[in-house]
Amino acid sequence: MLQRLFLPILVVLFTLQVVGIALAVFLLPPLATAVVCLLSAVLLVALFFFKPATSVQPTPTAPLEPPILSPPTESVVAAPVAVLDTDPLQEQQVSLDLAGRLSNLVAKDTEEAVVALTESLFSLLESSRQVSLHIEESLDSLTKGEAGLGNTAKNLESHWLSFRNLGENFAALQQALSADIQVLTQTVSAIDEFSDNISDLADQTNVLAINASIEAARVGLHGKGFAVIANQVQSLAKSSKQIAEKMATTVSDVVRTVEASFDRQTQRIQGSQALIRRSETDLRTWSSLVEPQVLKVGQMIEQSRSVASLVTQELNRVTVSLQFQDRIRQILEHLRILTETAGKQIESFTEVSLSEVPGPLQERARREAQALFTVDQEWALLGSGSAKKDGPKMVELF
Amino acid sequence: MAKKILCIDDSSTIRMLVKKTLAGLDYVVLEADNGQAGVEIAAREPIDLFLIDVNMPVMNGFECVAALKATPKYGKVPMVFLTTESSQEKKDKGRQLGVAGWIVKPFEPEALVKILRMLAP
Repeated sequence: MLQRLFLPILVVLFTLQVVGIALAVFLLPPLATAVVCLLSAVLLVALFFFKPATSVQPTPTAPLEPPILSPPTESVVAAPVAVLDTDPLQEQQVSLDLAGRLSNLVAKDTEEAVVALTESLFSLLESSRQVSLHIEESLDSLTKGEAGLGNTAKNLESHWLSFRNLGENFAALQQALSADIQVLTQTVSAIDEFSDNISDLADQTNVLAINASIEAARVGLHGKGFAVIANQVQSLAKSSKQIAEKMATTVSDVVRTVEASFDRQTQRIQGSQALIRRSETDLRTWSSLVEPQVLKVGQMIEQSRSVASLVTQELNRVTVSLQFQDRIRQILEHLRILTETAGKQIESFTEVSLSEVPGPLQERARREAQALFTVDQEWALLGSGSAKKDGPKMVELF
Repeated sequence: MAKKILCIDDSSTIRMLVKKTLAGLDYVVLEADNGQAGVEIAAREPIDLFLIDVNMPVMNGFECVAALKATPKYGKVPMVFLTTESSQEKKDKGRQLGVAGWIVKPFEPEALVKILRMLAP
């Protein structure tokens, strides 16, 4: 009974191992997967060396030889069940061949999957790194260079300082202008005083001339010449007064004109000062707005650099992890070699090559495998001409 | 001028990882999937550094190093084993053959680049 069940148990266990390894490759961490693979290899070897046919026989003297050496061709054709009872090793031989091919399939698929995964991951991470570098370069050019934000902030600061100096200069100019007006006012006052004095002197001279004329008339004929001189003095006094008055009028006109000019200059200077103060305030505001932006962009550049560095670190981790996956593929390869060796050992026991194993035995192994197999590639291992040969339909509507 | 690295490994994954690790650096990576193929490529192309696996079909890493070291062309060219093997016995054998270094898989990309920069600057 145990002998009958041995082959199905072996096939089921091996298939479970292969499925377990395949799942472990993609779901478990590399170390855990390696442990699963190693345990599977050990279990397979243990199963191979466990021989139920020999263990149930009481006498161990050459227990395998009779059934192996006796060619069961006739009985196979007539009664396949009887042949199966007598050739368990040949049955194992077929199963191990299948197991070896399955192992090979898993190793090949694993390698292909790892290569594809490697390509995708590197491509993804490389794109991410490129994007990060591009952002960094863009932000860098935004802050650096002649037209960069950093330079703009410096220019604004410099212009603000220039405007402040200009404002201070205008204030000094206005002060100087006020002082000049004061000096001019004082000078004009002095001129006015001189003019008044001249006018007074002219008046007094006129009075003297009139008195002299009166005295000249009193002395009669002898004073006639003196009266002419007195008239001339009176005439000169009048002219002096007229000149003094004209001078006062002219000075007054000049003063009015100069004062009006000073007023206009003062108004212009005050207007310019107001404009400078406003520009200075605006520049100060812009400068205060630009500076935090420059700081922020600088922080963004740092963040971008940090992301690029993280991507590189992640890439390194992925590289190491993928090598663990490759190590698992190698272990599967070793499993396949062990299976192959086991098959060859059976071949040496039975002295029957795989191609010479009776058809019914091979057919039974195929049927059992077909009952287990679900994946198209597994069917291909059997050389099955089933409908699955055309490839799986990913979506099917019924 | 870019240095030529020949990666001799039966695992296409490892060859690809080496190639990806050195991409963008000043190296050109050539590939061979066993020692014999590596020796043949080295005869055709001048190689500046070899990265060689130990366990390979057709010709293993030790045989490959011995074959390359026997040629006057590659007697002094640096060769590094990149392998899962880590026993002292194997390492001693490598040292006797005259290899420049031994990297145990899985390799750290940064470590690989550092070693290559030292041996093939």
